[in-house]
Amino acid sequence: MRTAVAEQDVAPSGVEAPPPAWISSHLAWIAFAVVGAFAAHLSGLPVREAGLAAAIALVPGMAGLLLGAQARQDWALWLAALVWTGFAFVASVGLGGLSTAAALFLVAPALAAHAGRPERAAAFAGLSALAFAASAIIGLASPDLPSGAGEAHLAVFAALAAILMVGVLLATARPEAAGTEARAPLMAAMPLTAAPASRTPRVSLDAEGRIRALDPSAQALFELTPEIAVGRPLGNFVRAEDRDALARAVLAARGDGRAEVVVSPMRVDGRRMALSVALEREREGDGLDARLHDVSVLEARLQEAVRERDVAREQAAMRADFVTDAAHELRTPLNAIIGFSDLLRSGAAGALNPAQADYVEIIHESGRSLADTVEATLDLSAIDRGGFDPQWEPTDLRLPVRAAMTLLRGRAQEAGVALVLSEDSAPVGLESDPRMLRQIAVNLVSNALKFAPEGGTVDVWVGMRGEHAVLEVSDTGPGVPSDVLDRLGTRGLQGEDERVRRRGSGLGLSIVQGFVRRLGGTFDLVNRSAVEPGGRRGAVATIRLPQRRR
Amino acid sequence: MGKTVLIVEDNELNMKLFNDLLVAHGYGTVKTRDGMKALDLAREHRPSLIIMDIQLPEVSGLDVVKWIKADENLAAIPIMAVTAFAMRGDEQRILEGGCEAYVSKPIAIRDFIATVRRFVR
Repeated sequence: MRTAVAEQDVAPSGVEAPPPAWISSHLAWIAFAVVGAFAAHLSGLPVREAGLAAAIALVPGMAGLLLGAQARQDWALWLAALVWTGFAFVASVGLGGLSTAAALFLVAPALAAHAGRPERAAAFAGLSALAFAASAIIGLASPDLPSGAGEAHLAVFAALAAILMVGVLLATARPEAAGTEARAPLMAAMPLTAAPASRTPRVSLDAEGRIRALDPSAQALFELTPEIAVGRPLGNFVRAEDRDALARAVLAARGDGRAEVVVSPMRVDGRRMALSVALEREREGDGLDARLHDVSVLEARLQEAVRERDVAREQAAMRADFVTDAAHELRTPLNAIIGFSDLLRSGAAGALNPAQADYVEIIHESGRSLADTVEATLDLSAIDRGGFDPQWEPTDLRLPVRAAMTLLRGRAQEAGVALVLSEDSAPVGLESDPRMLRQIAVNLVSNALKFAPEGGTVDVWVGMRGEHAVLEVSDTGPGVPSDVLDRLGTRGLQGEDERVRRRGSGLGLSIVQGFVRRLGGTFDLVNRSAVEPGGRRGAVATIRLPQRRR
Repeated sequence: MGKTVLIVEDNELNMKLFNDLLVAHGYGTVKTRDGMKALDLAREHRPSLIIMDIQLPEVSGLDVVKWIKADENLAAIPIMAVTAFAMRGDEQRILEGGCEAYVSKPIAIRDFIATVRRFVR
């Protein structure tokens, strides 16, 4: 029965087809006005006066027809009521104050009832009562108003027409107008007819969050009957941990018009269910309309994703811890290998024959190279953990680059590679971290030195380019394989070529990438052949840094 | 008597490396793996230089440095910090902690000896 009633309801929004009874009663009024005026003329009312009466009587009829389409909008209802009350006033006064035409004052409240707005009926009745009182006072104060037979007929006709109209309007009034107070707001707020197939479970709440009504699907979700639910706070029927959130959402919806919260209804079957409650303030009154969506599946997936993410994070942290611990453990024996081989080759422990000196040299160099990898691993792991906060200060990009060049000149000579620095003559000022800049330059240049062939060149350029401080390092090596370019920024940037692979771990470029990001800059690595087709071979690494810290 | 260097280092291999290196270059050494004993040994031997591992198991090398520098009879002895923790900002922190020099592992023998010679001729 509840559903049947609900389905009669239509959403009170937008322009709709005019209610048929509204139109037909106004049409009937127009017909009666014409007939009445004609009858009054036959009874002796001069044709001019009869015509005027008909014209005046047509005003509310036509107005009602015009407003019919908007009859459910508040403003249209008010306008119609005002026109009708005004007309009733004019007719009453014109026909002698306390005439039968006073029945016209009933039309405006009847309009409200017809539109299903009982709360407006009271307002319109008050309006009519005031107008009626005013017309009665005017009628008593001027007893000399004309009161011929024609006018009397007109008054009777007006009363009959008014009663007829009121009767039709009241008979076709929307059911909730005569219904209980408890049902009226629910029905007004529940347009359930739009899409029966995808009907959303709904609950109507008062401003305090107490249940006023709930539809059968909402009853099923909460395992509640209206007898138990109505009048009790919705919060009573959700799990204790969700009550505060629901209460906050109710407050928010009262304030902002809408709010959403996810709660678990308390269910006899113990099923844990996640219910999204979308609260919306009613257009009229301060109650709330709650639409329910079962989001249990989404919620379960979300929880699972969160768990998986946490596990993955934990594993990543454990791996990072392991890498860091392992790297620290490697340092001590490496220090011994490097230190003692250094001690041996220095001759401090006695002279070595040429073969011994050669072997000790190899041990020492390998130890150094392994130590570099260990340090790079520690740096990368620190970058991954969000370490290496830049220590910002004004600097000149040329200075850290020069420092890197000084450090690497020896290595370039050993490799037989020409290391050429060119720089802007003006300072390349920027706000950055000079230590990180030096590390970037060292890594880029030493990487280029690894790949440049003997007799090749590594060019380093520092300067301003547009708004950016730029460091560019190019070599005459074999270039970077395309898949490595694709993976730029990931671990292990060495090339495919086994000969190339032996020369570096690729960690250096990842560190560059990490540092440059920290400094708000960009790192590009391209093959020269890509920008100069048919030209020289080799890779070009470009760092662009903002002048100001971002 | 030759110049004496106090080595405070908990790692056996590093201790041996520093010791052999210094001995090979004609220095005498006093060794301890325990930071808590460093102060007493410094008072007893009055070394020309202290080589201090910053990462000691029981007490921070920087604390030991602080104690030594707080003793007016010992404050003049130069301290050379050695650390595997070549982390950013460490160098400054160590120098601010009262050390005269800073060497990070892995040490390069040439640099190490050169630094020692700066303080002990």
